[in-house]
Amino acid sequence: MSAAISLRNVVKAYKRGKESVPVLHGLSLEIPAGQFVSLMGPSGSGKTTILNLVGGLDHANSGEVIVGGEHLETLSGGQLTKWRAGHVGFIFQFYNLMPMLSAAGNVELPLLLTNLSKSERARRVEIALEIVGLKDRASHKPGEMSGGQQQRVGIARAIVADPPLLLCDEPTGDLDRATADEILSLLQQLNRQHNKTILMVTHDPKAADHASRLLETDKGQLIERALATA
Amino acid sequence: MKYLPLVWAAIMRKPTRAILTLLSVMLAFTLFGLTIGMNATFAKVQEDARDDRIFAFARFGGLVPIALERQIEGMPGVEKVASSSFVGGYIQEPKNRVFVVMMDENIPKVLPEYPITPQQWQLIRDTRQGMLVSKMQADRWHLKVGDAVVIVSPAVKKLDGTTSWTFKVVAVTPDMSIFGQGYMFGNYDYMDKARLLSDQGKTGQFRVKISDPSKTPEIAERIVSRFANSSTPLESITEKVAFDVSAGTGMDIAAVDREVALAGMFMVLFLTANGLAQAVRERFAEFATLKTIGFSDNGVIALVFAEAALPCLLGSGLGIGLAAIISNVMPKFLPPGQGLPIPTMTVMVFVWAGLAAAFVAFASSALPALRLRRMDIATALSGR
Amino acid sequence: MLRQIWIVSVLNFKSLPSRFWQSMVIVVGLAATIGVMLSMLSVSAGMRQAYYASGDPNRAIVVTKGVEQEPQSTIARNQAPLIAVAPGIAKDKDGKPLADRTLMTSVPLLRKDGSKGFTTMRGLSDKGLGVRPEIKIVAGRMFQAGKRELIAGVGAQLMFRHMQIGDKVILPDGEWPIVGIYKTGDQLEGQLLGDTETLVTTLHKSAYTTMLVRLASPDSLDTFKKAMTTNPALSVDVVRHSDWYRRVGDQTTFALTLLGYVVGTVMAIGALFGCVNTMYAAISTRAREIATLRALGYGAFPVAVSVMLEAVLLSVTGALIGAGFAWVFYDGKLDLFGNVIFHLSVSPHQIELGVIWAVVVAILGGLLPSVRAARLPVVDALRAT
Repeated sequence: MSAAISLRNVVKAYKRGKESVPVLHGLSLEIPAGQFVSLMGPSGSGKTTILNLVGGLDHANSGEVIVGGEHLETLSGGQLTKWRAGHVGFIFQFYNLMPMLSAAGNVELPLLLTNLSKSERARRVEIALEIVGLKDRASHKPGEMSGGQQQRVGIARAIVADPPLLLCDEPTGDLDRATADEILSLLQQLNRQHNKTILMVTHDPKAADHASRLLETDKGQLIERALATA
Repeated sequence: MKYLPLVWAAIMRKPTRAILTLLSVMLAFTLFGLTIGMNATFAKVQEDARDDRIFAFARFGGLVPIALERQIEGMPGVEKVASSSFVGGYIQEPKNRVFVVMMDENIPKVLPEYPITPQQWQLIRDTRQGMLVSKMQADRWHLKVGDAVVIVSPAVKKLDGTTSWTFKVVAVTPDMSIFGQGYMFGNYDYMDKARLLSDQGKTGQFRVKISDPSKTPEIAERIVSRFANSSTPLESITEKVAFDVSAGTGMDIAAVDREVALAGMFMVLFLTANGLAQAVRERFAEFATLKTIGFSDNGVIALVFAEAALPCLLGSGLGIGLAAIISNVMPKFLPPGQGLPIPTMTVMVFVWAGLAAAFVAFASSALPALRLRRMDIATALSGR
Repeated sequence: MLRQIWIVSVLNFKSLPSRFWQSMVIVVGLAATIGVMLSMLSVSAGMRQAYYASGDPNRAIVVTKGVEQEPQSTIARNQAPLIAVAPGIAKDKDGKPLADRTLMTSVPLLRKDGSKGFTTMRGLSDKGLGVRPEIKIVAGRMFQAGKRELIAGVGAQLMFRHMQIGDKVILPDGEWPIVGIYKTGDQLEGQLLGDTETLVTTLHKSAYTTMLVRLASPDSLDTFKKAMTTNPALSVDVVRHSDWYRRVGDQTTFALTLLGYVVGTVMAIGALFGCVNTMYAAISTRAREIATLRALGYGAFPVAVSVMLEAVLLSVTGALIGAGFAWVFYDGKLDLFGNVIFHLSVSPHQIELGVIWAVVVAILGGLLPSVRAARLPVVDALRAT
């Protein structure tokens, strides 16, 4: 299952006290289903904003945000939350795992929101951990794992409910080169073998090697970049 | 519940903190149990008090002639009258205070609800010096059936001028809630025939049974007016009034108990509210993550409430349990004769404790819940 | 060393405002504990004081041998003169012994709220006022010997209805009018006083209850006591009046005092756990700060002491607030128990006690946290985010 993403004339400004700081000035973007897009650019240029809007974490001031056919701009906060549960998986720079839960416990979290039975949940958790290669660390806590392993748990959690779209915010930002490459490969695998649409915000120069499309933000505008390799 | 592991993990994130909080909550609820339990005892005693019985005794203190028993019985509306007298004294040392209630043969008819069988009542009629001892008193003084006990009672002199009264234990009987530390019952005739001539034929108080409960207060007043001008004027109180603690002492002890329980709850509320606010503050990003995964506002708030409710409810249960243990043990350590009512952990006490615990959990999670509801996920996630 | 302790502690206290609500947990805990405890103790303390004040060390009470409650005592009529001539008793200006024959009885009255209550009526004999000079008539007049009239104490006036001059009290032989109001400054004020001999007739008694004598000097007690206890015609106990009321006061208030301390103890333990919790949290919050100090060269002991001092400061503050509440709302208020009317008492001694309890709770509660603060792994704490 894949989700296509459409942003049409999106305007977004943030309030800093009394001031309003504009970030996106009528941005439009089309991402067909199944693409692995890498979004780069300087800080404050709106990368994370785009991610938050696509993920339904924030509302645009104006414009349309259509994900998988759903017009997110028409949904209320509660509706967005419900929509998120089945349609998006998030992967964060600092993993955002619950330190007091085991790896399996962390991965199970999205499934708690469903009606699946305990055994069915356990089965899917096992599959997700298998995909990311951490099956034998299921009962370990985040504090007992390296950064790379923790990020894998984060990815497992993001895919366990089988959402069509994965949103990644600097997934390799806190990892060393070798580990970062592993994570990027894993994401590539998820895109190519499991057909997940991936939108990744990153500073990592090696991201270009794994994504299927490069975009750059500059003062609220998007610029297509050619990939180094075809 | 499938969310239980998540809530448990959240609570046990800092095990020391969780245990200390639980202990604090437990102690506040122990206090709750002791005070509200005492009120429950008062309420039960009041409830058990019969509305068809009256106490009648000398208006100006002292003893009353036992002959009045028949006179009162002759009054319209009175079904039966019995009398009893106290022999207050000590066993071996003055600090071992006891008192024996000397009953006449009509008592079982007027006080039928006492947990004493007709056979047992008969035992003290057959054995003049016989005494029925309740379990608590038997345990306290290490008495068993067949033992002889000497009770020294300086206020009740015998014919020979001495004050030592010998009793024989003929049965050990069940305790009653109105006698907080147990009781001893003896035979009135034994006391009457053996004491000073000037005191013979007299008794301490009458227990009057009324046929129609609606007439009880009226008859109580009539007893007073009937004997007002006699040589021994009587005063009367209905049993309902007699067993009302605040009416007796003039002090509203139940209110004091409630205030103390409230103070304890306030202390707990402060502690849990603070602990929860701090925990939510520390884990704000975690909650934001849950929201991104798809947990609704209410879902996240429910998790926080559960985090507060679990220790509160557990603590309340343990606390009331501890109060029950203390109440059981307390009478054994109190000097004899101290009229402190023993708290009882009735169903209502548990219910009130549960409600208090729920309230504390609600109030503690109120502000954190508000913060979580107003949370801007994007900012929360980026604000690391 | 002391200097280090001082500096670290001051730094500690400066950071308190940023840990305000956390710290309030200790303050509230102790305030509630000590506040409740002192409020409860104010009742028993007040009652006890009312009893203690009733006994005079210059007087001795004569009761039936072995009796512990005054009303249970009887002194036969023919015994009274024997007692009055004994050595050790003070004499009035006419050379007559100051020995008062007391008769006690219980009189039912209606309380102010309408419920049935009772009080004690005492007979005073001709030497009554001589033995009890503290009885002062504040309204009306003293009753006359041989007359069926009585006076009521100011305490009785506060507790019961129909206690004005002219009101009548029902006694066995009819109604006796109240002709005066008296005050004494002790629990005698809650009673009624009349003439002993008249009362004896009214109540058809054949004996007095007790005798109260004024001692020639406080040391004459032994002389008087010896004379009484070696006299074969008498079977009595002689107790210094102040000792008697001390015992009665202690016995009567025992249960209430015990209750106050039990409640206080349970709450204090609860507050103790709260204190440990809070101090652990405080150290957690201040981990980086503590680690920095350690890295700069401040010793582990000063750090530990500063934690302890913080706990003590917060506890004592809470205790004083709680004591303050108890004092403001309870001290001096009138209360009644049975037929004793008294002033609730939150005394400096009790407040002192509250503060000591707070210090004990703080020391016990701060012990483990202060040890942890001393043992904080410096390097880890400095690196932590």
